[in-house]
Amino acid sequence: MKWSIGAFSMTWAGVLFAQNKNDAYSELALKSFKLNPEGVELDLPSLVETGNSIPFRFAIKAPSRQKIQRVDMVAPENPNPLLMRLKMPSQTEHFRFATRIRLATSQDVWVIATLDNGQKIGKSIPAVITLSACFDAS
Amino acid sequence: MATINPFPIRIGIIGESAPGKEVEVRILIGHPMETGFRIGINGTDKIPKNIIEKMVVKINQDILFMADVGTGIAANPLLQFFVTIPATGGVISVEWFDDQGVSRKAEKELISLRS
Repeated sequence: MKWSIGAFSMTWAGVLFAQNKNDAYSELALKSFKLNPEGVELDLPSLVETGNSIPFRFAIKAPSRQKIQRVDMVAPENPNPLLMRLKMPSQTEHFRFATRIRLATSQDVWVIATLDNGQKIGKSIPAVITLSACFDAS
Repeated sequence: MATINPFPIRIGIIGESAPGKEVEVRILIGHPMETGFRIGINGTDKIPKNIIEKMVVKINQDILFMADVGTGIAANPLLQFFVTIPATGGVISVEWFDDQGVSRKAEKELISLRS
């Protein structure tokens, strides 16, 4: 009995800890999710001159009989890790999207899609930045 | 006298605009997207934050997606995505809201009568 209570409280501590804005999208937390990369395609230049404007493109195809509900674009080393969150009330099976992002440092950029059954799929892609977007005085 | 619109929105539709066809939509929003991290010309004061917080893209009153935007999106945000044109045609519209209370809206016919 004691064991189960201990395990229970520890899990909840982990959940609460992960709810913290900065920890939920830290590199470590993202890797601990062990996301299934199947059906996710990302495209980002591997070497970027300036972090201020980087073309970023992704395509997501949900597993059969499931639909995409939400897509998070995350750069864990940015001051605000969540780049953009797309919420789709009209749930789609496949979604292609492109935008231009800012990156503070060289890092892995993640795309995490939440499906309608609560499952998450996602993948990361590395990018090397020569000039930072956020921390310079320009 | 010509007035200058500080927040222009441009919507482009690429592909064959016919019912049932999939077309590419590009939305370009004019906005400075100041992060609040940059330092001004005098070298001490920070440039105040001015960020788009929310965008809503609709086709004929049906929400296609709602975007929560942060400081990680570049100035003059570009959204590029694909939509299937409904059988009855219609309009695609985009509306954004920033943290200083400014909002703008633009819309465009999916099937152009001119072409």
